[in-house]
Amino acid sequence: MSPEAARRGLAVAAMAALWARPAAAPAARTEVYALVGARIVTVSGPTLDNATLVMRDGVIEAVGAGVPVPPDARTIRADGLVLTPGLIDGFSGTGLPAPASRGPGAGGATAAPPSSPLAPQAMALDKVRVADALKARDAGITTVLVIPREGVLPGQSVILNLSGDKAEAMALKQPAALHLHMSTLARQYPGSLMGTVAYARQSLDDAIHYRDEWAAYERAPAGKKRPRYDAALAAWQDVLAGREMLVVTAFRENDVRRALAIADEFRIKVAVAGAPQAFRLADLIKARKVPLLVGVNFDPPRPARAFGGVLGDEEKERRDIEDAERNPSELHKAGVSFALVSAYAPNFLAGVRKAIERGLPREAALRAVTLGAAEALGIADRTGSLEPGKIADVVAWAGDPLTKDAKAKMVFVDGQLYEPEEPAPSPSPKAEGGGQ
Amino acid sequence: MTGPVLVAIVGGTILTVGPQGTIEKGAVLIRDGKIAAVGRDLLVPAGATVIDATGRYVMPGIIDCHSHTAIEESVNECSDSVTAEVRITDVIDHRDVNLYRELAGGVTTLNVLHGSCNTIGGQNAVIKLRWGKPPEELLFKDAPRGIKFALGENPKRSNFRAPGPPRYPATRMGVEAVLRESFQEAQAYKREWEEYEKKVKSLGSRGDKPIAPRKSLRLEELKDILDGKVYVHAHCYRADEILMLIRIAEEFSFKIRTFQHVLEGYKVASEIARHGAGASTFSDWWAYKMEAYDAIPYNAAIMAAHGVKVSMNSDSDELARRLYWEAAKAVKYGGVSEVEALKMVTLNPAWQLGIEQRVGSIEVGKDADIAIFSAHPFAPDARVEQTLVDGVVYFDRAKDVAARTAPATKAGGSP
Amino acid sequence: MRAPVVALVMLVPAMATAADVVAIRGGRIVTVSGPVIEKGTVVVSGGKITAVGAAVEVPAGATVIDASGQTVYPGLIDGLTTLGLTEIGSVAGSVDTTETGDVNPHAEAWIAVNPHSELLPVARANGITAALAAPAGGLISGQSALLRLAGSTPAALTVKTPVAMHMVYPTGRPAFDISRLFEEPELKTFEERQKDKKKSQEKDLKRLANLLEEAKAYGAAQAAAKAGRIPPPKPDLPMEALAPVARGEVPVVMRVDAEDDIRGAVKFAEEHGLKLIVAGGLDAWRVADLLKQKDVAVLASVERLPRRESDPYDAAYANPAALHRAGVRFAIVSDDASQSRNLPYEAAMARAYGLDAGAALRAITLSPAEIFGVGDRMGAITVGRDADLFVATGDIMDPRSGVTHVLVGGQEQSLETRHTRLYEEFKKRP
Repeated sequence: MSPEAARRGLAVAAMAALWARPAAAPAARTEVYALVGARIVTVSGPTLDNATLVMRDGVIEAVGAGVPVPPDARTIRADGLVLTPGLIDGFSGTGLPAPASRGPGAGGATAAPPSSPLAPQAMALDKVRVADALKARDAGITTVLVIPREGVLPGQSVILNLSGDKAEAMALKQPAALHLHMSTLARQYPGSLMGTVAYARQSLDDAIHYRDEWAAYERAPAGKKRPRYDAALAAWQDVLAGREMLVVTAFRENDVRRALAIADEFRIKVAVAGAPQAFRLADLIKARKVPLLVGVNFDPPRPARAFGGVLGDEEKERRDIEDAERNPSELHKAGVSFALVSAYAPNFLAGVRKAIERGLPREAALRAVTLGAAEALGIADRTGSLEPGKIADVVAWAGDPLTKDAKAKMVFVDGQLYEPEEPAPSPSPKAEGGGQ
Repeated sequence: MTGPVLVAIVGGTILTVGPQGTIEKGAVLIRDGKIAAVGRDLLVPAGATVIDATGRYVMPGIIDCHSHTAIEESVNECSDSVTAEVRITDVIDHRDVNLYRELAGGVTTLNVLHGSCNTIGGQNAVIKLRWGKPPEELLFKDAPRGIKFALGENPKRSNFRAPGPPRYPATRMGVEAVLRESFQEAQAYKREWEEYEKKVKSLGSRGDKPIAPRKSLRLEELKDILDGKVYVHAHCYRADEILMLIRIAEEFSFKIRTFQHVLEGYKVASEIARHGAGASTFSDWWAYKMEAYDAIPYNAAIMAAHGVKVSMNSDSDELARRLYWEAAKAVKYGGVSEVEALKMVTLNPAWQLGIEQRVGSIEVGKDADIAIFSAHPFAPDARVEQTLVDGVVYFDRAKDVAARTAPATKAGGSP
Repeated sequence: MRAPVVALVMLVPAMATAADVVAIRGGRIVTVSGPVIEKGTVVVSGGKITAVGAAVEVPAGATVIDASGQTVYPGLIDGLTTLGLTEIGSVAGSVDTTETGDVNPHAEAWIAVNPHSELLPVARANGITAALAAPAGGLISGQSALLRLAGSTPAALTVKTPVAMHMVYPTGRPAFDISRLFEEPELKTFEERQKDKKKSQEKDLKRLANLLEEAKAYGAAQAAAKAGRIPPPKPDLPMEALAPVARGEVPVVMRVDAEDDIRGAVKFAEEHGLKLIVAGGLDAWRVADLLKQKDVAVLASVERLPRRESDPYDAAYANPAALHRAGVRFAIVSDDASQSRNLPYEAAMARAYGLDAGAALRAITLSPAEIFGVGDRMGAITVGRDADLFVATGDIMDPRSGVTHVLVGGQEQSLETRHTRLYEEFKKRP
């Protein structure tokens, strides 16, 4: 067969294959896209007007005003739209099942089986429900770090790029980090904050002992009692060796100090997530160059009970919430680099908008949920900005990004197009749609 | 290069609580946070900040030997009866406003303790009330380490029902067993490590180094108690449990530094004195628990008469602000002299915490931790006007009042 | 059947014998209601004060108490306690302060008071001769009684009952319950908790309002039945107890601390015709003018931490002085039982923070007497008043002072207590 005939045949076969596909929503087959005529916020460089972005095989190929459209590209006119890098939520529970409520039978069909609260070896990836995770794209979020919020040692997180239908294939970094929540457990050790610190300390001591014990055995096993495998202690080894980051979730100002104290005592790398009072430690954070994932979960659910001050100081609670809201703005003023993350806030973008309302410049906010987040997570060499060579995670917005009325019209993840559905019109102008 | 920081407190009556006794119309000179001179007719050096204490009373900063102020989250790690590895120093909350309120009550140093949930609780933190400084700067440098024990109703959970399976112990017999077992385990741990060290030494540089035993932070602390490196502060009430603890301590060759609360201490005062422990007690709290039913306000006086070093403590953010009147009650109940009563909130708790070289009296060389009162601290209209820690004024009532915005709090709320 | 609404019980018989005559001679007499008598004599007879003055003669045959160099005071009145209702706080068998259920208007403190409680002599030994014993907890806790701290039966102790109906203003917050200490609490955001609080508060206030309305109707039915117009209503102890409160005849002591809640309580009282007394009143200084305007008295305890981090550090200490400046009627109270003996030092703290000494003493003597409607017969040293007095070695508000003599109803009381007995026994032990 001649090459031309072969090619024609292939084309016919391809056409046939296309037509033969089931009636369900066809997967985008296009490998090359050109978005033309858009305002492009690259984040890494100046904003371009009336420009073109080309992506091929899941990678950004070209960005610029006069960039030519490749002949095999699907051209999409993006006039009046704003392109930004896909938003990154660097600390979330995206795609994880809701924690089981207390009490028998309260969980329902979607409740997860309870997992151990002290399991550094548990992998968040194993718990991700793909269909749930993908919903985040409606808000323009393309990349998420996922770790359960319950427990003290919830395990190791995964960074997912939200495309495809298999969790593993979504994993951009697996594992991403090992996590320690500065919280306490209800009916077991550690039941106090000092217990949590002691537990972490003992765990690391045990991990060192485990390492040395196994190393000695591997060197010369003859005559020695064989050490036992311990999944939890094995999980700590990469952190001990400096190959994996320990992310400490800080709820209080001094949790940041505690995180640094652990880092110093065991000479390991730490990052801090949450940190609603971090601005009080701006100088320390800057000096120690701590990767900071600042949460926008300003009013998290807390125990509703009377113990510890029957009268309660509501004024202080309110003040603390306000401090948390202006935390990003204050950090920015102090010149601290940080990511903005949901930290399990029910509405990530609403939280980001609140931070802007409280003084964080919108550009800084956008950076904090794109390149700034990528930097904090150690993936800035591959994503977080609209530059050639980076992963094609791109959002086309109608309206100014990070404003209330902004809508993600097109969301590209790994160069795959996803078009969020128009949300049903809300009854009240104030109602927030989920994920917007 | 700045010169020394000089402060002079002049014109007041100085209750030194030291060998110089009471000095009327005296002065205290402070240099770089330390007391440089105490006496009458002292020359105030040029450049010194002068604090006019005319008509006022100047005493050493109050030391509260039983406090739970400035602890972040839970005061107790209740999950186990022995939790010697947890550390209060890990959870000091430098922003707890009660630190400021206690400064306003003349307090300058706290023994911040783990709670009484467990037979053997956690490690303490001795802190100075340097209000506004970060947690690490509150720690009293080089204060001896301490740990909390608890005996009686609290560790055996007599007075509430915790959910889940019951925790051992439920009786005073069990409390003793927990102590005995813990120190036997500590002895075994100590032997294990001594054998390991012997082996390492004998091998020298040759041969395969043996693997060290697993380091247990819990047993390390218990071992250090056995080695006399940690002060034991034991919450206790009943006379028989006080004797029990003395027996255990002597059996395992360590000392109890202080019995805390020790409300029946008066029944076994000579035994406490013979053991060499101090006693840190309430002035007159009683009848809130069965084990507090025989508590009497003469407790401090009787123990002091037997030669026990007694301090008055608060175990309460609220009471900590009024310890000067708690001390005064030792005069009322049992006829303790005013100077001895003052010692109960200054020099005696300093000794109990092993910091009497640094604080507890106004003497040359000691830290300038000082409280200035409007009248004699035992007088019914006395109130604290200023409090200094390391020669720095951390509380000044006049400034506090001037800074208030609500009119109701300014008008007459002042002088 | 319960005694009528206001029952006064006499402690001593009207007839005096020579043995009843006591003269306290040569002391400094702080009358409270008038100027201090630097050196004088008080004569008591038949349970009453029969003479006070610098030049009073000691009657023949009188028992003489030499008070030279000492100070004579009216017996202190602790205006809010659980004395007699509690022995050992953690031992449920010994505690009778709080009945089951939220609504117990018919619970009467005097019924459950234990005259042989060890706590009574302890308070009395430091000059407290009378105390309000009040039930606690729930929404409507019950009726308080004014007790005289000497007597071997509840009736003998009871000076007046009911003094007031005690209630707790709904704060919308769950009450502290030690048995639920280890329970895993529900997790809610601040906004959710604020909503819950408001809803809960409104619900409880509505409940309280309904109860008062029902009680008013019940009272009217009782009156009509008495007049023979209708058959008597079905017996209902709670309603019967609440009716005089709803009619404004028996005052309400409402436990309330927060500023907004105090305002709410004042409004509620006005709407329902209640005679309001505030107990606690930690924020009262913030609404002093309102309290003055509505003539609401306050039973304030001083040894409390401020409510808010931003409150002045001396908020509770300076509260009485602020109330005094605003002309609000108030008493300083221990709000405790085993700590009642420290009442003078609470007054001292108020004094150190702005309350003049005379007003401080009045707050633990005549003022509570007046607030409870016995101001003509207790709380001061004047002829005709009850002979409740004590002698102290110095200023009673000075923690170093001791009490040397205590008279209740004209009878000298033993100063022996459980504490002095243990002291005597163990100070001898080598």
